[in-house]
Amino acid sequence: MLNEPSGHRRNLFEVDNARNLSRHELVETFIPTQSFWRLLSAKHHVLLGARGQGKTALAKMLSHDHLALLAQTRDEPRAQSAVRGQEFIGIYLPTRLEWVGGLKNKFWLNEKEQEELFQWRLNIASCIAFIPVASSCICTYVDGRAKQAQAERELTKLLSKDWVIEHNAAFEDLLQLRRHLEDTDYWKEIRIVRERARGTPLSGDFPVGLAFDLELFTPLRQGIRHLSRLLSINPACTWLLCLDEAEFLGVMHQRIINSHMRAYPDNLFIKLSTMPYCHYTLATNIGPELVPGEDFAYVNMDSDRVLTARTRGEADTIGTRFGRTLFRKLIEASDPQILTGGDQSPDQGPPSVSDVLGPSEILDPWRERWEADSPNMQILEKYGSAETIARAHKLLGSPGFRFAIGRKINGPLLLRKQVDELKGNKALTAYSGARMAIRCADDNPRRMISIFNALLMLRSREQKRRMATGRRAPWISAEDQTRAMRTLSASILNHYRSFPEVGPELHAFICMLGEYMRADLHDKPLTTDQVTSVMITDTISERDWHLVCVAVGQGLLHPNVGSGNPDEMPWREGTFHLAYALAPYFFLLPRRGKAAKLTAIQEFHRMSLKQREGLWASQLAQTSLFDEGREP
Amino acid sequence: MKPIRVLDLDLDDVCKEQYDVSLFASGYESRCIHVPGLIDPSIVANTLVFGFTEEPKSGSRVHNDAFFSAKWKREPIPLSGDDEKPIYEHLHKHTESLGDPIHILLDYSSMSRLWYAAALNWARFAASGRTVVIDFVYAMGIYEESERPFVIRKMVSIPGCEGRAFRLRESVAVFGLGFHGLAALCVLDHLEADTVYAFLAAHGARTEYTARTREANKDLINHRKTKAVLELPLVSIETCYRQLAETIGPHRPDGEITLVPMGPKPHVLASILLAMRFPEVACLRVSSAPDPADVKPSGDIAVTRVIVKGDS
Repeated sequence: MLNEPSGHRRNLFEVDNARNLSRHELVETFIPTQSFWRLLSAKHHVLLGARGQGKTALAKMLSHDHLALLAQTRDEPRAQSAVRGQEFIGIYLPTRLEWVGGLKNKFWLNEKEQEELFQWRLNIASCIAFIPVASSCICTYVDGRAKQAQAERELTKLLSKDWVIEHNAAFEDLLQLRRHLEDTDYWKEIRIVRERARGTPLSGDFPVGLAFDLELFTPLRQGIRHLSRLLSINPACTWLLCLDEAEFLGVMHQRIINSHMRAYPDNLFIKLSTMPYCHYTLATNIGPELVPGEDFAYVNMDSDRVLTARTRGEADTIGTRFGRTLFRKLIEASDPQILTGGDQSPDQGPPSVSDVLGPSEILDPWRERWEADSPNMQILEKYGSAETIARAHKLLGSPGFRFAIGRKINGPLLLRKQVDELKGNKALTAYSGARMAIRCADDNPRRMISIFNALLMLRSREQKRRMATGRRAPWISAEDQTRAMRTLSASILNHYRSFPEVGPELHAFICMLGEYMRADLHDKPLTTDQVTSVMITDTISERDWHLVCVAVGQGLLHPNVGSGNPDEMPWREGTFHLAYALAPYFFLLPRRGKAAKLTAIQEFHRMSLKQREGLWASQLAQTSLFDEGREP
Repeated sequence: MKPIRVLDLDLDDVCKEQYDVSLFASGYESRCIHVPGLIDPSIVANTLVFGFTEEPKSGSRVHNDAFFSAKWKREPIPLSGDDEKPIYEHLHKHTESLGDPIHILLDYSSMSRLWYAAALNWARFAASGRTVVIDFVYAMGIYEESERPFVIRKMVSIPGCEGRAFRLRESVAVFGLGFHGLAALCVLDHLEADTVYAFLAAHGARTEYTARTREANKDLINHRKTKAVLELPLVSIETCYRQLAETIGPHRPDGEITLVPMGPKPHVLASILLAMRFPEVACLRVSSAPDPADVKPSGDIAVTRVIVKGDS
């Protein structure tokens, strides 16, 4: 197997992408979600997930070598049944930037030639991806080294006969065959450039990879057939071809894959992973368009109910528990050195994320104490709107107070006070604590790992300092955590200035939303509802809609999808909340709030300071006409 | 794969040579005519001047065209920076009857990388088995600070430099750093490599350029995946080529190596040569919308001889 561990454990907080994890590392740290189990089915799927949401982890985990290890090392009955019963065999095939870059640079080819080239390259790539899966199947389903070697030799012979038809090739094993296929792909590229440079098509005496000129996935099906016969694979086995990173493909490429989904309802099913709004077309090359729900189904990872739901009696959402579990798994699978010099004794076991980061002063409920002259009430009287203060006094002491006022306004008040008092050397502490770190990751594993890593690096520095001074403290200071969170938040936004095609516009668009939300929280008397979402209608311009789509794909905006059909992405109208990852940058509370219309935000953006003050005053006057504090 | 030889030369060496063909570019930068201004046209048998169809009236373009017309007696052949077919056609036409070796002079100071990669691909694949000696000349330039962000338009492989793109093994990205640090980070975000190396010009046209490049790219330089940052000379592509080959050596032949040159053109040329030398190495072209800012020559010149024994 490739990428196998050498026995050395890395610091997995340094690896925020499943692509760069070895098989053992990924299997050890993988947390199966509902989306994952949905993909393990005999159906074509298009998996939608923002950048960093874990699409690659899911796609890789479906491949047989990973699933077999999961079944072997973890108590996962569904994986065990899929592998032992030969119910599903998955093949992982990334269509990443470098691969697609070799397709899109042939600008001189006409559409037919481009289609043929894509089909040829996808054919050979799928066969190359099949080879490690075939090895894994032989290891899993054939007993004894000698028989395994014999099966591999036999399979190599069969595959060579089908896949290498230009000359008589004799390969010892699958690795040799695979290297030959990689060379073939390279020589195909060279042949095309050679033809371009010479200005004439090459004669037939230089054939390259003729076997892959066949219809899409025909060579792969030949391979599947040989392997199935050789190992007597369950005839009812479903083969899954996981095409990862399809956002890099073009419309024409996706149309060809769509055609396959439409035309082949047999035992090979496509799992196409891409970003939201990056399944660019439903068109096919065989007439009718694909029909979602019939020809295939969308699986929207961003609305994965496993992450957003809350189990009865639990303080944490399952997403928060996911974050805590991920932290524990990364600690357990990492080099123990990352914890040395810490405060825990060896027999205490690894620390939890709460041990390391402590509580959140803004999000954890333990500080919510409200009495007539309590500090909380004093802050409310300073920053709250007249209506909110009056309502708070009216409800104070009643059972409804916490639900109608306290729970909603406590966090915003504490944040507002801190930001208001921020001057000189005084440091902000609001963005600290385990719950805050996890919340600001938007249930996005890559973001979560980046945040954990940044904070663990702080911990490491802090420990060295403490050891030098002999001072002990239970966790990283809230000031340091907040500083790190704000730096990360700014860095996420800044990276988008150069983003392909829309960089400066996207950056300005997100800043416009964030600035409006910041002003809503910090510049006007507080009510129990803060704006953290934007509402768009079908009057939105093409350009703005494109920016919304890109922002959703990048995980900068999240659609508030309905619980009735969580896999359906909103189209040109709907409500989107700003990523919590950007909350520290804009001084926002990472919590779902009410929405403002995009047109209102754009109008606000064009206003002078004086006009904005006038706007807040008029809005407050309107608010007082309604019964404030109800659920939006 | 046949080896490519890379040697450093001086401009004096160029002036003493006789060339079968020369390739120049006319664009909006005033340095376009710096090298052609230093060379006596009598040393070149056939001169080709390609004029960018993008921004045809910006900057010094009109003046540059007039210069080529007056000194080299050539009107620029209009050509998009995104196309290279006429380069193949003209090279074929002007060398068809020549013997072995073919000697070409190419000033790439203001040239699209697609064009000079095409000259190399022509030498590799279309020179009918003859040895092609290409002297690449580069006039270093003075770059003013630009407020304009580098917005990525395309990220595609340079033709002939596609590498072997199968992510089933370790992937390595090698960034040539320039003044647009955010763009480099953006590419890194898309590539998601396991291991990153970076290189930058040690002695550019101005001494402060090294510090400016480091400052612009501090996030990438300090990135946890970045294993080493090399300072490579701008005047010696021979050294760059060798050091880059040594850097990627431990990751060959099984790693997937992607070179992303976003800095000065001599480093781009070194990257292209490396990708043409090793099948497992790809070279990406990251382009932005044209920014018609003038680049004046600093007076320093780098010359590199590349010797390619083409396919028959």
